[in-house]
Amino acid sequence: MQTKDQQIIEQIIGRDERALDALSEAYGAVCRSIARNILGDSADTEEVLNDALFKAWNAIPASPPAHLQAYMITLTRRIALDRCKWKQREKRGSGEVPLALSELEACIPAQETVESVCDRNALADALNRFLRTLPAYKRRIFIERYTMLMPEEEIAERHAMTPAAVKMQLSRIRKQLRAYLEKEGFL
Amino acid sequence: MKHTDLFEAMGEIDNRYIEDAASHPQHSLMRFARPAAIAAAVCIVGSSAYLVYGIVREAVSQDGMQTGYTDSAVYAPETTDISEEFAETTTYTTVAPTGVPEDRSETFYWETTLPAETTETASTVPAGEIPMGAYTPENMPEVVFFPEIGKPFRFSPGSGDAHGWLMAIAEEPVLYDNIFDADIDLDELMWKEHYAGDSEYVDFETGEILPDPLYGERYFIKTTVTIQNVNAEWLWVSNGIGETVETGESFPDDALCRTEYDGSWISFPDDVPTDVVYQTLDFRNTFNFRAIADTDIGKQHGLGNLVYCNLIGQPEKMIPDESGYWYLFQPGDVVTYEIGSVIAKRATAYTERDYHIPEGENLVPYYCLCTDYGITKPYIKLNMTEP
Repeated sequence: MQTKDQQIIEQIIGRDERALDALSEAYGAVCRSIARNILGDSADTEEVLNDALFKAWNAIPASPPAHLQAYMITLTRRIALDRCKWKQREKRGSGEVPLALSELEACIPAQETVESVCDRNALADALNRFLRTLPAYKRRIFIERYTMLMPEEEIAERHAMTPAAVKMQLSRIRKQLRAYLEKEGFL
Repeated sequence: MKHTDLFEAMGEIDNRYIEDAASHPQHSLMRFARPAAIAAAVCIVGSSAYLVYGIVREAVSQDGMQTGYTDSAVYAPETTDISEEFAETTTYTTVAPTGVPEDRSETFYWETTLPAETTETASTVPAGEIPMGAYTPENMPEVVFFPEIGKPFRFSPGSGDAHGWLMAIAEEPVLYDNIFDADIDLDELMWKEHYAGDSEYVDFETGEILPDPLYGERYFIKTTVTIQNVNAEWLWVSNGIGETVETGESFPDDALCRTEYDGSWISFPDDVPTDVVYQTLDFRNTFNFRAIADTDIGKQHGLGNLVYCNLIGQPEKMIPDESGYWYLFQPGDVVTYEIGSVIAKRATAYTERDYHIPEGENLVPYYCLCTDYGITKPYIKLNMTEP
């Protein structure tokens, strides 16, 4: 049986514009949430969502994704971050980015920057290996925070935890990640 | 490497992980709709009831990426310090849906710093018989172990507080097909002591720490458990506190399960699927029975992973509107679970000081039930909404 994602992808490939509505209906909420978490601005959020839909519309026929939701999330995140950087040229952006960045800074302090910039793919591979070692709920919490940029309160709500417990888990995972990256030679 | 590199790389991780996180139910109460299995036995001795139950939980995520499960059962009576120094990794083997055994590894983090002597007894011990002896509350071992499948093992649950735990875990695909099936025999009363109540319970709405309502005499029991299902990897059993119950009135004819009070064995009527599992709890001077069935009925009917929830035993007191007994949850449903005046939003009914309960796991309904001992007119209301 054809899944909803497959149907959407085939519609996009077939240039059926109903696919955009279906895509927006299916994943608009999560993408909007990510954009809002990054930008903290509803007008920008809608623009980012539209950009993401547009890019998906253009890119999917050439390279259909295996995981449509994750694809949309990644796309939205990139577009929103680009917009965030653009905004930050004028002033510090709002949303969860500064907070999430500052938390990760504690994991990898800026003063430990080395001249050789590691390859982002290698780092992503290492991250994948690290994530594989985590229990599912910890992995989800970590991704929700640092990939989907959800506020801790929202993560807490999703997992029926207190924000304090989320904070504690994130802190532990960051420590684990630091140790892992050290072991892998990234630090 | 800069932290911004890491931040960027977090956007480039494996899409399956993102998919998994994004698709994860938005509230762990939702997990109630996913396979969970509880086996319970109630032993009536004199005027008191004892509660023993084991829990089987799924351990894989929706796309099957999750390779295991982390849990521990540690009682830490003295301290609230958090430490990771007791982390340990355990490797075990599970059987994938394809029938291929897979080695899996989990790291355990004891959430609480344990006194040295407690640490020793809380360590993983080999399967088989747990040494029994003239235990006292002071030397009762806390055990976390992997029972050998198919062989009986014995243990003494609990010490110092109301519960001691072991946990049964089964993999999701297996859970649907072949649910945990254990015979639990409470065969010996070990001792009893006056229980003044020293636990903390939290009002979910206000965050207020409530006085422990479990007040009365505490009984310790010796238990023999036989794991009959090859897929049960752990067994988590607890003893509990009993109050006076009106025996014989708690189980209507259509009960999913019944208890033979004299022998304290669980038995299922013939027409009940073997994967029906259930949990008991008792309120003061009443005995309410909650049954949770994780059946393959849904699969048989092509409906997917259904979980039937049946409230039995004095349902008129538990369900304000006296509506039907069966609630049907389907994947994607969102269940608001309301008990008394408390809306349960958090899994940890017991404080983390006392137990390591993995946050966000599907224990929510059960623990919420347990928080409600003190409410004089308990009821359970289930609201189900479409995702």
